[in-house]
Amino acid sequence: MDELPIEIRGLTAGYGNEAILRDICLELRPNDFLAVIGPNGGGKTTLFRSILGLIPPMSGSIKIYGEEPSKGVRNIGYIPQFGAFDKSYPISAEEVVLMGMRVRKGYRPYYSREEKAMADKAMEYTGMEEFRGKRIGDLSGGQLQRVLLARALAPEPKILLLDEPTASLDPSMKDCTYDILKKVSSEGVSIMLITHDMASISHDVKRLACINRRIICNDRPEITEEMVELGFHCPPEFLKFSHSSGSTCKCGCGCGRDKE
Amino acid sequence: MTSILDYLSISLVQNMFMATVCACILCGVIGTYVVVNRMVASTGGIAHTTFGGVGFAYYVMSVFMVGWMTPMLGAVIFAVVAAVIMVVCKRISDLRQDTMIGVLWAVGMAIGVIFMCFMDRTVVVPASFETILFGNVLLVSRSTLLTMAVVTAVILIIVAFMYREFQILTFDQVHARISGMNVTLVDLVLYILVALSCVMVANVVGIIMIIALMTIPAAMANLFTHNMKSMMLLGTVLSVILSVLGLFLCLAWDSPPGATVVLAVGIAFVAALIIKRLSKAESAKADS
Repeated sequence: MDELPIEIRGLTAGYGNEAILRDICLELRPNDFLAVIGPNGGGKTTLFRSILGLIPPMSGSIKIYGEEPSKGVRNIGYIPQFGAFDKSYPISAEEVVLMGMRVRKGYRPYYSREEKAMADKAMEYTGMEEFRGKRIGDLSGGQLQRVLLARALAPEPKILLLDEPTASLDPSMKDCTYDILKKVSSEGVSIMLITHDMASISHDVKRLACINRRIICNDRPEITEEMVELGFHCPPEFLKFSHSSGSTCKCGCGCGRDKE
Repeated sequence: MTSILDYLSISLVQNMFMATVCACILCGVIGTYVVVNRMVASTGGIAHTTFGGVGFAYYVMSVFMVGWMTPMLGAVIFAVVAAVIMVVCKRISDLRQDTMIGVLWAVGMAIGVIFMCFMDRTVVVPASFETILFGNVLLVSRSTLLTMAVVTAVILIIVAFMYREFQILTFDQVHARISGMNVTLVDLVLYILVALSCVMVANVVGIIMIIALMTIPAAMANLFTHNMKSMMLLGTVLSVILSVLGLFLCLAWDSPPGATVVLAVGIAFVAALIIKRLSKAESAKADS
């Protein structure tokens, strides 16, 4: 039987002695497009950090194509939130994309012609080829997001992990990002993204999970009542009201409830 | 009256210029990492810790008659130990890095003063506090110059081989870890290069003013270029030009060389900031 891209069994993870995630079971299937939603502080980032091998599990296991995260992570292209970067750093879009090749080749003092060709291909794929020489500080949020996407795609990963890929993007940039992800998904790459913004989830998502220390998965791209209660501690009626009225909640979670 | 050309024929003055050029190359290259990676305070901490090493070396030389323990070697040992402590602190311990910088800064100086106080001055005559703290590049000997040249060459070779690693580490540590980099080791190498550079630069401007040469030329280069390699090159060129200008001024005015060099670099930085601000205002006016 083929190994699953990501298989998480009974994962408890956190920082120090505090467990943020408890008994998480989750799988990312071949050619999957899974969106994990949940409130801020619900453990979305901890889940990604565990998968990437940045924090060790307290209990349970994570397998990436049957291997431990430390080895299996080479199959993953990771796209962090673009807002986390120092935009004054003296680096061009092309240099950022080339960084992605280290995942594939490990330590090498120089970039080979093949590596440069792969980075070029990734920049063309994300429509960033004309920005290659631009400093990252001169790029818009959406352009930087696509540069990071190109960096993740350059080594041709089998799995893509995206952390809040559409946060702070305008609607046209969100559509552009999802168009690229749809294309990537159609080429057989398994995709998993995390977001706290339910409204930003694309119709192209195939499955949905909700995380708030525990996790609930749905094999269909639909938010269930259990998910709303787990993720946002409010009855589903609030969510329905919120969507129908088009109002935005003060807490920003999309639950439709005014913050006290 | 003695002309500048007469001065240049003196071997001490030749040493002074060559030592300054070595230090400036390090300031342009390693200073770029210091500025970009926001390591200015760490560099200051490492620089001041070297005073402990100088005092330690004088003590060992005079009390235990260990001739090979030169002040420069003592400074290298203390600087490298400070670099290791900083990286360990940053990566493993919960202690805030600025706290550790403050501790190393003050304790390093205190150790130096204590050792200098208890050394046997009848056996070894130490350099004055003024020379150690504020530098006197006129005192650079041929052997010190040779050491500086070798260390500069080694540092440049390491940077050439580690350029990609340093760039990934200083831009995106999470990506560095995911791509299998031993981030603690690479960070340690970077800090050790900073530590070695501090000791070399101290020969020119003294311990207290290291931070100026390690920061200002690279920061000035960053005003005009946003490419790391260009920043290193321009930082080196600016550093050499301004430092040599400072040395000529020191010869002409008979002023302390280290302080004159730092003053020249500092004035140029202010001028560069004004030029940058004016050109920005001009282009904004043209756009509107």
